[in-house]
Amino acid sequence: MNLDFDLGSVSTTEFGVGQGTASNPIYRKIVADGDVQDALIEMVANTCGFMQEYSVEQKGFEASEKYGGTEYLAVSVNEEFSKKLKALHDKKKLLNDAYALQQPNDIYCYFARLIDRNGRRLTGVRRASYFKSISNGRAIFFRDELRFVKDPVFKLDKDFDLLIDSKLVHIWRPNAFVILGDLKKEILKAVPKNILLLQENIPFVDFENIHEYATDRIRAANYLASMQSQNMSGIEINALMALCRKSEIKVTEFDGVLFVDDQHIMPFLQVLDRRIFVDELDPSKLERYVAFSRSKMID
Amino acid sequence: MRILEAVAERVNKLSSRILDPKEGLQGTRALMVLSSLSPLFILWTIRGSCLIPNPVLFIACGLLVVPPTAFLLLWIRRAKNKRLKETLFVGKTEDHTNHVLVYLFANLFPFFQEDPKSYRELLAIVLALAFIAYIFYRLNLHYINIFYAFRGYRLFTVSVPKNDSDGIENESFIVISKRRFLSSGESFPSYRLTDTVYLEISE
Repeated sequence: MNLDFDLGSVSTTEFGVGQGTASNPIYRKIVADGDVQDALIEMVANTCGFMQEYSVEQKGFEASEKYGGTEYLAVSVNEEFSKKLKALHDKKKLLNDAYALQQPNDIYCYFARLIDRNGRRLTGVRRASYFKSISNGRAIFFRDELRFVKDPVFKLDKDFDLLIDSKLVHIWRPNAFVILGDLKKEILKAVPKNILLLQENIPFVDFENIHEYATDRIRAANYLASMQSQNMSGIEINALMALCRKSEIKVTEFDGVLFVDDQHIMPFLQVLDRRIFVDELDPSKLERYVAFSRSKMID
Repeated sequence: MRILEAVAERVNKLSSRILDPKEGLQGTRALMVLSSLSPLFILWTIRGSCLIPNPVLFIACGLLVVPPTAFLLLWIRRAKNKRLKETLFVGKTEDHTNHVLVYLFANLFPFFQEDPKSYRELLAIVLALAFIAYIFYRLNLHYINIFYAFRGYRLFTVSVPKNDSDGIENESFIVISKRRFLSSGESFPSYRLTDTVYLEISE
């Protein structure tokens, strides 16, 4: 992975929390001393190390793909998916709120914003599930005898869910990226635009019922979003009809236009998204599979 | 109905705190205000008073000068030791060093001229000074301190860059810097003294 940041020359480190929800976040800064800043830089370094170990090359993020708990992916900061997170990264000044940690239940994420000596910025974001787990607990510490910790205690994790630099969002936990970036809402909002783009590339398919179907169904919307990163312009009507027939997907052709049966919209989208394949090893019984996770083989 | 009321109370609490986050460091800011009044107490000590015996005056003014000013210096040192730094981005900037002079002439000199002849007059002066100190505290004028001017610092009011507002109008902060001017669009690291006052890191 290539990080557009120099971890060896960090000039300033900020710590903050996100209050509310990812849909309507309120970001607040909390002053952190040198030790906490060092811990945050260590978290960033750990995250980079894990990403590097996982894979040197970066894969893009596909909304319809099923990912593991941790997987290194990268998305351009200028993509629609990255909008909300980019807003946090680009913010020049956050308000200080000394009392933000007094309402731990309002916190949904925490973050570190680093600036190096060349003025480059890096933001690490983490969901706050474990951050506040012991704030209500009965933590004890030992200094010649056991005592209760009276002040609220918050736990920093080992790594961040994702890192944002000037060019990319480097994702370590895809599921967290979906939540922190409020992707579900963005993907559903993007359905009309994605349908329009698909219609340009596949003009012989009638997308009207597909549009209505996907407007409030996140899985279908995911498939539409995922198709934007694929080459759809080379699809031919006969090849598509043949694959649909083989996959037992009901489509009808009328006057050179393909209409998809209302009950078969989801499998049709899976075909377009290259997720359905038919196993012909045993010609006597064809088996159809849906792949929730697939990778293109390199030629 | 009870659940609805509990939810409404929660939302109001959260929104009022979020839209107007309480500024921390109340004690620090109060001591900074006291430190900014130090020149007046020093002048009173030198001039003396008909009503108050010198030992009492020395001790009282000493307590009002030394601890707050020592605290201010230690607070600045603490910010450096703990690396309480922040990179500031300059939108609009104005040099308000003249605020110090205005403060001097408008506030200190009238009080300096006062020499109470009775305890009632003394009480009135002390209360008037307390009101002014409170106003300075409430208006976040704790950065106005003549000692910064002695050390060659200037005071700049800096606004955040356009389109970066956090939903709060006129978001601005004070930068104490030795430079003669700050340029719009530049950025530099500074030590955070309070939520609204920063000391530029000089190389």
